[in-house]
Amino acid sequence: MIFQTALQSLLDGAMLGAIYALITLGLALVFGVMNVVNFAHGDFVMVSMYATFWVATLLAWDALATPLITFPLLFLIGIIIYYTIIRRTLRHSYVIQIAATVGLQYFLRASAQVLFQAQPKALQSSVVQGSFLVGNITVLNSRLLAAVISLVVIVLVSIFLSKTWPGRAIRAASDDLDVSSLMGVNYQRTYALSFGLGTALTAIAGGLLMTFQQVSPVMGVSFGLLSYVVLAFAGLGSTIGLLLSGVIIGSAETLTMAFWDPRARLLVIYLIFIVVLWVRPRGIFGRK
Amino acid sequence: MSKKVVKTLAFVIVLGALLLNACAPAATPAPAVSTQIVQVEVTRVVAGTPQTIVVTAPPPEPVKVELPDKIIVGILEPLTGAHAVFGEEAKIGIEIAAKHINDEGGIKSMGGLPIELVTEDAGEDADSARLGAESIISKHHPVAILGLYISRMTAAASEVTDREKVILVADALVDSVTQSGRRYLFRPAPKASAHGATAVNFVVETAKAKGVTVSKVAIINEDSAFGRANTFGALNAAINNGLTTVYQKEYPYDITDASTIVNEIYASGADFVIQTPYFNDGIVFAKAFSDAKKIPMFIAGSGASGFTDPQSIEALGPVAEGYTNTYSYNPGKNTPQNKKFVDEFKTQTGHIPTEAAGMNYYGMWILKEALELSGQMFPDDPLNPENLRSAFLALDLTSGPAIETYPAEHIKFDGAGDNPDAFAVVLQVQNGEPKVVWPVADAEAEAIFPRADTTR
Repeated sequence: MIFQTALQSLLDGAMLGAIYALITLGLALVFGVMNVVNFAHGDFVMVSMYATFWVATLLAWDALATPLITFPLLFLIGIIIYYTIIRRTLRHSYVIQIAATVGLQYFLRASAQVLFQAQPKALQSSVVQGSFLVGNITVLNSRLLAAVISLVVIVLVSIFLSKTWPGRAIRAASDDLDVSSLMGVNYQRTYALSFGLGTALTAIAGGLLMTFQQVSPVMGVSFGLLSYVVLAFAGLGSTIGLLLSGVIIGSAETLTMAFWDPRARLLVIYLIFIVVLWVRPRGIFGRK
Repeated sequence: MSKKVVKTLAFVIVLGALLLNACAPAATPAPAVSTQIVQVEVTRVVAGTPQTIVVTAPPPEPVKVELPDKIIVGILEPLTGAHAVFGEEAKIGIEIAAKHINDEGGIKSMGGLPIELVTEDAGEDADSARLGAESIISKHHPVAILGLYISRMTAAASEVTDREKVILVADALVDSVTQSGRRYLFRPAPKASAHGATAVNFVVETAKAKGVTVSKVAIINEDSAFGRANTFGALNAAINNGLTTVYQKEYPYDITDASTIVNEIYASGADFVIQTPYFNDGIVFAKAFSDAKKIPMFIAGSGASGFTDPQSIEALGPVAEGYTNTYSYNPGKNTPQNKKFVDEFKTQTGHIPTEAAGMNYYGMWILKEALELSGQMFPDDPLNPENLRSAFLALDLTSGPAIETYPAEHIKFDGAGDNPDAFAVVLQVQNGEPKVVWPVADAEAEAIFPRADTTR
């Protein structure tokens, strides 16, 4: 019985963790390239979930198909926010950047509250509802598909960063901005691309989350905090490390809920966060 | 009379008046009526011999405190943050009630004074609630406040309302809200523990009526004082009904994945589940039960938040079918006043009133009845906090608009501010609509039991 519970929790946690990794990938892009800690990242996930809800409702699409519209939409929003807010803070101290992104966080949250009257929204059905059994272990279709899609997207982004010119420009800017500028990399465009892509990735995460969750204006905070922990655990520069960190954090969460107390899940997650910062400040898989 | 004597007398009178004024309690008007004759012994010396005479003064004229041209009532609800979904509904309920009261001539015992509402956001935590209470009182000086739905916020704000002697008609359900000795707090709705007990009693009685045996229960709640108080009532009711509690757990209300707990509940062999959700967690759990296809015979909500409210039904769609929850308000009550309220609420929002809206609608009417009574009992100073409190305690309602929208048939507050006769009804989602199914005497429809999609 205990073994079965542990196995079930590990599976649930691993699938959940893959989505955490996808959410964190956007944050890692922005932080890794621009050195900007985007406190509004979790709220972009919330915005993406609302965008998913409205696209799915108005067009009668499944949540899984909505990134066809929400991905470019969030990319555009990201670009606009970069040029209007983020770019102006780049040459200022961390305090200004934190103030700007925290302000953006509250702006997004309050806007959602005004637009959607604080009422949580959920999609009634998805093609991936239901589950199947592997032995005595229940595999939820929505979580499995979300994990697989997250994995595929993470691999695709990894290929984009290593095999394409814009991706290499992002990595070069991340490694050394001055040298990459001398080599012809337009850092403003590269930053805008990174911020846009980081924001747009939340559209895919939002679509996946909406297959089994609801969205409310205040839920961005929890996604934001979780993505910081996953990023701190993984460190910068390794997409596979990001995926593994997401899986470890997700599993720690579900195992805590099963064997200790659901209320202690954040306690365990932040304990991991503190230990990693203490023992290995650059993260377990970080290359810088 | 010499000038010196006149000056001395004038000085004594002025000094006496000043002293009397200083001794009077601050901001408390003079007693309304006094019929006592005042007798004062005065000693004077005449030709070296002291003489005592008794001066009899006529009784003082009753001091009638001038009434304002409107009665200000505060709405202090969470209008932003995680609990805004409840506060917004509550505000609409209060506004409709105030409109109905004013349309019917205001407070008649005070010459038809109209109700004027003022609103303040209570935020989402105890500090913001306390600040909200201080702000609304200092800015508007309301005679009463309705709010704050969330119990921990109510506890914090009631410190301020009690200190400032402002009546608080509370819509928070945690038992302890009325157990901390607040003088000016009244709660018409049933306590949270009564909701928990109602949920269990409903399942046991319905199962018996349907010939289904239930013996094992799982009880879960979000980890606030509200969830805990509901569970306390449910646990006691489970013991009283001879049930075995095979699983019990608390979880954070912002839980994002409930599949682990759902698996555990099913593995525990529970026949049915009693859950106290807030709102989001109700959706997360209902989807997790459905997705995992591990559905017990019955899942009954407790405490009114989640499952059967219009937003949850809209969010869950077919998954909401068969879910129940306990309500402090009966939207199906077949009375003219209730129908009027439901119709107007539906016109404004597109859905029937939630518990938060219903509780505050009848809460406003109960306040109106107390104001009327205060006007009759204390015509010279009906808005004095002590007089209004006395009127609340003297209320004994068995008819009228408040009763027509109240789940029970009797409203009379005890010394703690609760109505011992309050009880909750049970709503069940049937064909996408919440229907009152228990108590049977008040039922709009027969309860569907066990769940049609149970996998047990």
